[in-house]
This record gives sequence, structure tokens and C-alpha cells, in this order.
Amino acid sequence: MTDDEIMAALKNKRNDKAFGALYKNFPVIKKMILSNSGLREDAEDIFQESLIILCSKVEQGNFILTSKLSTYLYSVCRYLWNDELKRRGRSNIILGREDFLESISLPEEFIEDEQKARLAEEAIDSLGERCKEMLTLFYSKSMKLFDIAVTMGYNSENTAKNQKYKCLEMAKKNLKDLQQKQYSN
Amino acid sequence: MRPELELVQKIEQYLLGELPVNEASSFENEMNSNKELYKEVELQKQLMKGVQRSALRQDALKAFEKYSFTQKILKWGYIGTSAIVIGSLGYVFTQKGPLNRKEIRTEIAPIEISASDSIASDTTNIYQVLNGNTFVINSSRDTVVKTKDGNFIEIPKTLFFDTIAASDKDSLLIKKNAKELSQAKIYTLHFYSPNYKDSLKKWKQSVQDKNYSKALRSMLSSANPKNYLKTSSKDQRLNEKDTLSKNSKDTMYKAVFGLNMQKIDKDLSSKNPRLYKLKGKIPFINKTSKNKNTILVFDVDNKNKTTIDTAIVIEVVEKLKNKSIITKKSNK
Repeated sequence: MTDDEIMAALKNKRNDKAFGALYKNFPVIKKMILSNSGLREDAEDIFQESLIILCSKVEQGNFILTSKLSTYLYSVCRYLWNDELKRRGRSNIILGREDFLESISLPEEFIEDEQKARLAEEAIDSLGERCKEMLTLFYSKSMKLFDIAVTMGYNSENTAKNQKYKCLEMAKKNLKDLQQKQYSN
Repeated sequence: MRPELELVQKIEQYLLGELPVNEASSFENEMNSNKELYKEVELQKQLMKGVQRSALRQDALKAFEKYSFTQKILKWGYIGTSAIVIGSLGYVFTQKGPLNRKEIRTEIAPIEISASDSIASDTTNIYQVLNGNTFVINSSRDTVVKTKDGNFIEIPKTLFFDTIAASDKDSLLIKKNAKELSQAKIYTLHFYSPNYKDSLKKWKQSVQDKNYSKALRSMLSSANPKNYLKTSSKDQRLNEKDTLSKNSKDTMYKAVFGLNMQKIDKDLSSKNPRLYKLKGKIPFINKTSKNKNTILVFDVDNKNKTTIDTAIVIEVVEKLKNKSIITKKSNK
């Protein structure tokens, strides 16, 4: 698949196809991480994160690809791994041979957005399974409340709606706590 | 609704663009003058992104599993191909004369799948009630189960309405708890995998189909599933023209049928009338599909008959065309 085809697949929510094609870039990323104090598992996590970021950006609709997709992914992974190394109290990435690949500099907002997004995801993940499922069906799968009520066994659409708001309220509380914790660190 | 929840609702409506223009405009004015409200809106906006992101992570994980699987296949395929090439060359050079067609065909080793007691977590009570081993077969090709007694059950790949090559997870489960298969009744239970995160479009199913299937599954799982099986074996046995070969004494069963739909309908309509309306929406029998578990239960009336403790799963190569079949010895 060409870059344009991958971008089109992402825009049309055919993530499985796009992600499948993007995985051809994984070996390069793995090499970069392995040669910078990382493990294979780290490479997997970082690469997955980069796919999520790319997909989120495309979904937002205002993303313009100014380089090859492989370059973009590489740059994102490099940033993410750098950040992870800092968190682990290690030094930054030492540029190696794999950096023959050109890389692009990521805008300042990227870093800030990324941190916010991670916290929000964490807040969602700390909800119970039912809440998480409810919110996923509604916001991600765009399922109607009536169908959610039937699928999840609620008595009525109204009950499901109330439950959804309660879940959002809980998620908000989680997010506030997480933000508080982050600022206090 | 509590005032806090009403606020959550209003913010959501604003973020989803569901507020009328004038209301949205006044809400924005309020937001500009009220920092707390602004923060609440931002939080909720982030959370909506967080949900999307969490779902994307699932997609990324699936893609990774697929990638890993492919890598393993390639790795083992390479090793396997090398081994086969070396083995074949060795075989050819050790033969005295040229191989005839039959011998060559016999040498194509059928894939033999061994029994496993591991139970898929989503099949719960059905398995517990109907004890036995589970065989996993590849749903992307024709398969025949041959019993020790020479009975065949054909599971054609056309049984699956999605013929795209199946992965290891998209398998048909065959469960045996048989005595003598020639006396056996064959049942099929068919459920959707209860994973809501799967895209329904992907499986060409609607939400209603899935809901009905889920209700059905829940009902069957909570009761004794045997209550919903047909009691007559007449329906399962095929007539002469369906036998594997005219010259063969083997009886072939098609791997479908067996649920007592009348009873299911009756119970479902009384227990869950709303979902009952969706009845008939799912391809229930004789249309199993990828991503769904089909359980074939071999059952008999007389428990004292000899137990068929092994069943073999063999791949059929042009079996019906050539009226011949590749067989392999028991896996035990």
C-alpha cells in the first residue's frame, strides 16, 4: 500500500488494513529502540503508540502529512522513546546508523497533546469494564443508545443514557485526580 | 437527572454539535465568562478523545497480533519449506520407480489435529454439560472428520459464508462425546463471539443480529442446552445420493442442523419478547461464519456402546470430484 492509500484507509476507519501495512516499518523502529537500551517489548509498545497517535491525528481531520509516513512514524517513535528514557532516568537517544532515515521535528503542541491524551486514556482505562464498554460503543463505535441498551441489557434507552453520563462523570473525576497527581509531581 | 449529570449532558450535546445554534452560542458565552465551565468542557473533550484512543489501542494490538502471527508463519514456513524440499528430494531418490498418482496423493499428508481439553472462555456451560474433547479445524478449507468406524462427517468450507482465509482464531470447534457415530445424532450450536469491540461491519452483521444471538446464547448457556436439541436423528442423516461414494458403505453426515428451533422460539418469546422480534435475522443453522464458534456435538442414546475415543480430522483433496479420500490413521 502506498502512503496515500494508507492515509485513505485511516480516514475511512479501515484501521486494520492501514495498521497492517504500517507494520512493515516495525523492524526499523525495533532496531532503533534495541540499540538505545530498549527491549523488544518496548519497541512493540512504542510502535503501537505511534500508530495510535497517527490515527488520532488523521481522525481529527486537520493532519497534513509533510513527509513520508515511515519518516513520520520514525520521528514519533524516536520522540516517544526519548521521553520514556527520560522517565526511566536514562540519557537521550544516541543517534545511530538507523538515523540515516531523515526525521522531522514534531511541533511543541504535539508533546502537550500527547501528554493530555495519555492521561485521558488512563482515566478511561481506570473505569470499570461496563462503563468502558458503554463509552466505547457510544463514542468510538457510534452505536445508538437504543442499541447499546439492548446490547448491554439495560431496561430502556433512558437508563442507558443516565448510565453513560454517570460513567462520564466518573471518568472526569479520574482525569481530575490524575491531573492533580501529575501537577504535584 | 442530577444537576451534575445535566451539565455533563449539556457539554456532550455542545461537543457533538447537537445544541441548537442559539443555545450553542449562549453556552459559548457562558463558557468564556466561567472558567470552571470551560475546564469542564475541556475535560470532557479530552475524555472523548481518550475513549477513541483506547479503542484504537485495541486495533493496534490486533494488528500486532496479526503481524506477529505472519512473522511466525514466515519463519516456520521457511524452515518447513526447506525441510519439505530436502525430504521430498530424499524420498524421490530412494524410490525405485516413478510414483503413481494414488501414491502421490497419499503422500500429501493430511493435517491432523489433536484433541484438546482447553476450553474457550466464552463457551461456558455448553462445554461443561457436554463433556468431551474439542477439535479445532481450519474453516477455510473442506474438512472431513472420519471416525474409527469409517463414518464421515463432511464440513465443507462453504459452510462459512465468509470465505476469506481464516486465521487460527476463526475456527470451527468440533466437540465429540460419542459412542458410536453411526448411531449418533449430530447437533450444531452456533454463537457469535461476544466481543462488542469487534466491528459489526467487518462481519457483515447488524447490531440486531448480534443482540438476538447474544440473547440466545445467554438462554442456552443458562439452561441445559440439551433441552434445545432435536431428539430425532432422522433429520441429520442424509440419503444415498449424499453419501461420499456410491461404492462406499460409509455414511456421510453433513455437519449441520440439530437445534430444536420451535422450542427455542417458544422459550425466547416468553423470556425476552423484545429480542424475539429480531428472530430470524441471524444466519443460524447451516450458515456458520468466521469469528463464531460452532460446536458439533456427537451424542448417542445408548451410553453403553463403545466409545469412540479418537476421531481424526483429515483434509480432503478434491474428495468429491475424484470419489476418493485421503485418510490417516488415528491420532491417538
